[in-house]
Amino acid sequence: MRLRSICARTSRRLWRVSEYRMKDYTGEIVSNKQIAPDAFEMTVGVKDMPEVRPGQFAMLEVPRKDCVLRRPFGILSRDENSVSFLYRVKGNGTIALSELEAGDGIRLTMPLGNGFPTEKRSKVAIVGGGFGIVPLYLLAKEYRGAEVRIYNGFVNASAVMLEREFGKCGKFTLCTDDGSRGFHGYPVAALEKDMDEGFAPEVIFCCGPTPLMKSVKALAARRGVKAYLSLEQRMGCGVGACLTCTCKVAGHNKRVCKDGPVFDSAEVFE
Amino acid sequence: MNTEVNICGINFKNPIIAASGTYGFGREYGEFYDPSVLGGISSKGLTLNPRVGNDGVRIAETPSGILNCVGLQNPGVEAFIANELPYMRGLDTVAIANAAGSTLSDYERICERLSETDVDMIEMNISCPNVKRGGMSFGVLPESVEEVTRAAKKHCKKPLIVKLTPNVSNIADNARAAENGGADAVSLINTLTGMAVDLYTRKPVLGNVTGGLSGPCIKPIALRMVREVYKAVSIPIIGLGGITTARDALEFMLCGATAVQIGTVNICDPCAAPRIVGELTEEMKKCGVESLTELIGALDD
Repeated sequence: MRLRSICARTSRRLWRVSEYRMKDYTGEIVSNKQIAPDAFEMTVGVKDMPEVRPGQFAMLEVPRKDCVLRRPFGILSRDENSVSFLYRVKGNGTIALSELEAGDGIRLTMPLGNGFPTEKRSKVAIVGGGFGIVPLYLLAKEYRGAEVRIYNGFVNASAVMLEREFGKCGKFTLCTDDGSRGFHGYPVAALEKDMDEGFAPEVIFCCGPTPLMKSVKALAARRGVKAYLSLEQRMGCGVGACLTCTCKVAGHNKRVCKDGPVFDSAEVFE
Repeated sequence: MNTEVNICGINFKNPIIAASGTYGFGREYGEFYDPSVLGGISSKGLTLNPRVGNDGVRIAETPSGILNCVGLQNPGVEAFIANELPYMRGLDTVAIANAAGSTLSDYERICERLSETDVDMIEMNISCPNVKRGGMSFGVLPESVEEVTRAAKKHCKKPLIVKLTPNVSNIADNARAAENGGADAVSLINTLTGMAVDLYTRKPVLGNVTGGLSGPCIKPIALRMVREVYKAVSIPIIGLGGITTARDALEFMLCGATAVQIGTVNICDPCAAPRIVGELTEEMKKCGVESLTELIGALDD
């Protein structure tokens, strides 16, 4: 394909290829299945699959001409030949994506964004809400061996996802807003309870709805703990050019896609 | 086959130019391919002082298009000259600085400052609010277009492209006004004002309520306007609006554009520019032309 050859040629000539450098790929759907009422898990086969840092994302082309923008999805997992996503079916774009079948082609750009800082730590708290748990899975795996406590929250029992997977990564607390399963309340409350009982994480990582992230920011500030939040914003290009996904970080405009999506909690939601 | 075009004495290796506001200063796309494949790059719109742009949601997808209300976030003309222009100059492509202002004197000072640099051309964006005229845009009334063009031109030592807004009653009048004011070329169309609403929350989708519509959905309007302007002025036209393929690009040339800009497609597909440039010669074969200049304005209407 001409486009790919031009891209590949210019990249070879001008840039030293870093393993995390974003690139445009043409992949093939390996599987695309419903795992919860509004949730699909999609695995895309990709040759030359790049390394991915926890918290990075991809932009996926929608198989509908009238949906011109690609959709940003957090990367759930990767191996040498494929990458997986877990996404909410919500609008025209994600409905069209959910209709893709094994063998269909798809273009995607990845890995995007900086992901979570993953310095060595001995005690880590991970707080996820709803689909915000997706980028936290690679992160939880990254800290295998450390004391990892994971608090994932969902609206109710039927919305619970990836329970078994996260359960293998550390001490897992399932939370539901309505108490239909696990801890009754928001996951940040479950974390605070553990902290009251002596758990002293060096860092809190969070991704989820804005109210959850704001409460993690507040908790981190109260307890003097570092926290990193993975922000969501409506995105255009996903590569840092269009300046549509900006957010205020320490009073300055930053691009969620390129400068984030992970930011120090002390610098956002001011 | 010859893909070269010439605008105001500036040679473009091909007529595909990255549109202002969709391409930054080229760096981000430079991670995917060498931006030198392009005929030119028009920078993000520059103001005298840095601008933070609008708050809230800045983008919404609409059928075959997008709405944006970024609000001219940019580092300011001095930071552009110090930090971004050297990168653009390091590329083998025509460097166009896009200038935006909110007063007549803003345009004069930006053009003056940019004229001291080695940018090849200046593209003047005149769809910003004009406080002097009670909130009307510089670009809306022909008399105002002529006035601001004349003022900017006096301070401009580079070829001056005036970028026209389509949100007017007769764009040919505005193009004529730009020509009378001394514009060396015009580019059109900028975005169409539009909005998106959320029925269930009863709120506008965009933080700014309204935004600029771009993408394939505006192409027919853009083609019509390029044709109208082609018949009204004798200065070169740079056409834009919803181009996603070389075929689209050549359609604009057929209607009278000497070159084109690609904008939204960069946002939708990070490798669009090399693909479109790569498609040019194949489309030229299909059109039976040796040189792209043969197509300019050749529509049989």
